[in-house]
Amino acid sequence: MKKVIQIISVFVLAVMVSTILCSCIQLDDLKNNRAVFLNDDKTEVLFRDNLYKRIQLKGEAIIQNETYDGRLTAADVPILLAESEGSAFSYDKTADVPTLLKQYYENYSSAYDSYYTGTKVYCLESEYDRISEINSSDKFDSMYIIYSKDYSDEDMVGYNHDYQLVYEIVSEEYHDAIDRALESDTETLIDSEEGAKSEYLDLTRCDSETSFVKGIFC
Amino acid sequence: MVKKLVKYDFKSFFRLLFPVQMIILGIALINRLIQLFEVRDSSAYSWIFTSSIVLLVIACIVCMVMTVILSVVRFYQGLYSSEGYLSHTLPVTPSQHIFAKLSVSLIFAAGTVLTIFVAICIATFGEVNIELFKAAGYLLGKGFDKIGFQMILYMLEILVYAVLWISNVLMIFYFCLSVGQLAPRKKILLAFGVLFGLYTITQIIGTAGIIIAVIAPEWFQNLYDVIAEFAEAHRYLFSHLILSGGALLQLLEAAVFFLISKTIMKKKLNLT
Repeated sequence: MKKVIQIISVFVLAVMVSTILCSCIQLDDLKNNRAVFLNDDKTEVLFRDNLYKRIQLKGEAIIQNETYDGRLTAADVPILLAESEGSAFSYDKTADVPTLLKQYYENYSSAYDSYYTGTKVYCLESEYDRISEINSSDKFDSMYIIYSKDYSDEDMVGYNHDYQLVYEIVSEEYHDAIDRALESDTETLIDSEEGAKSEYLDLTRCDSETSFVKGIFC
Repeated sequence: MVKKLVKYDFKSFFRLLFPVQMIILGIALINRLIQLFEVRDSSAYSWIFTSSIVLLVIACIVCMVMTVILSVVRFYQGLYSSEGYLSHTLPVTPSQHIFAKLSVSLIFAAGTVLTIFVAICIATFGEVNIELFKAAGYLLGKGFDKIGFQMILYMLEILVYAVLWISNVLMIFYFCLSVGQLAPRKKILLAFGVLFGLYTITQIIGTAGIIIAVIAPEWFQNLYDVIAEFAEAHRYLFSHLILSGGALLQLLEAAVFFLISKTIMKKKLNLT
């Protein structure tokens, strides 16, 4: 009997030690990508212990290094059900504290029953005033170049190319030249021979109709 | 006397199944300890962890199969082999014999299910376990919010159905063994033959029903329409009827096999 108690004690201690010393990486990732609504009107969100407020942008917000791993849920939804009960949102994966969160779809009942309700953007509380100021101004002082770059292997032919969108801020010294080019409806296009890599460029400027950038993609 | 029968069977089950159940808990513990060395994007860790999970799953399946096999073997050994000479001299009716064997088998089937549950809890012990229970509680709460007290009825019906289904499965084996022992020689072979024959007959009946439903659906169209209308109008009642009906069917089937086994044991016992 004494031996049985000793064996059971060792067993229980081993389970407790393993519990204290380790956590689950997948569970940590789920927690790291989960945001919760703080109020019923869904205007405030808590993500990684930071408060985000809903912001109405005049145009589309472009997020660099965008990842769609985020899940937005009510506060009482358990973390393991965030995928099925939550709505997906995107954010900058390289930032510890992203400035913007973008929610595309709202989940009404289950993972198979989502509706597009228009993009909803949430802004970090500490950046809210700055972003609001940019949003409310008529003219912006940044220009972005958006182009489609082919990341396929050299031997790739046909239309299964790996095109990815790249956004880069254009230096101020080129702004005037770009303005003149846009006024004359000039487009820069690199033609390619069949089978070779090709890129299509479209230069646009930020204006009052958009918050950050407007572009055409191919 | 039945209590002593149950106690004796309990001890023989315990002696054989308990070590297997302890092994399952040990494998679950090893699985949990492996998680101490969790490393992101490591193929070596991934391989070892997956192997331990597979081992745990196989151990659980082996335990479930062993429980059924042990029930069948204990039934045969206790009533139709040399041990049967002693069993049938006891002041116990054949019904009581069968009932005692069935009760102990059901208890240990429940024990196996509990062991598997505890093994899963050990393998996920800690944050993951807590989140699992939270998710289960949330879904149950959501279910209660949506359908109210019907949830409790559904749970009870499913539990009763599960118990009756396991009893029916065991009674089928007992029936096959009882019919098998009627043969002068090769009794086990006949028992297998009866089991195979039962399976074949149920498959033939089922397939015939499907063929008729596919070839001549108009024969059943009125029935389909009535059922669909009833299901639409009384959704909850319909689902309760399906579950209760299923449980009743299992009970009737088990009762038929019980009666046949009891009759064979009472009037056609052949312990040669």
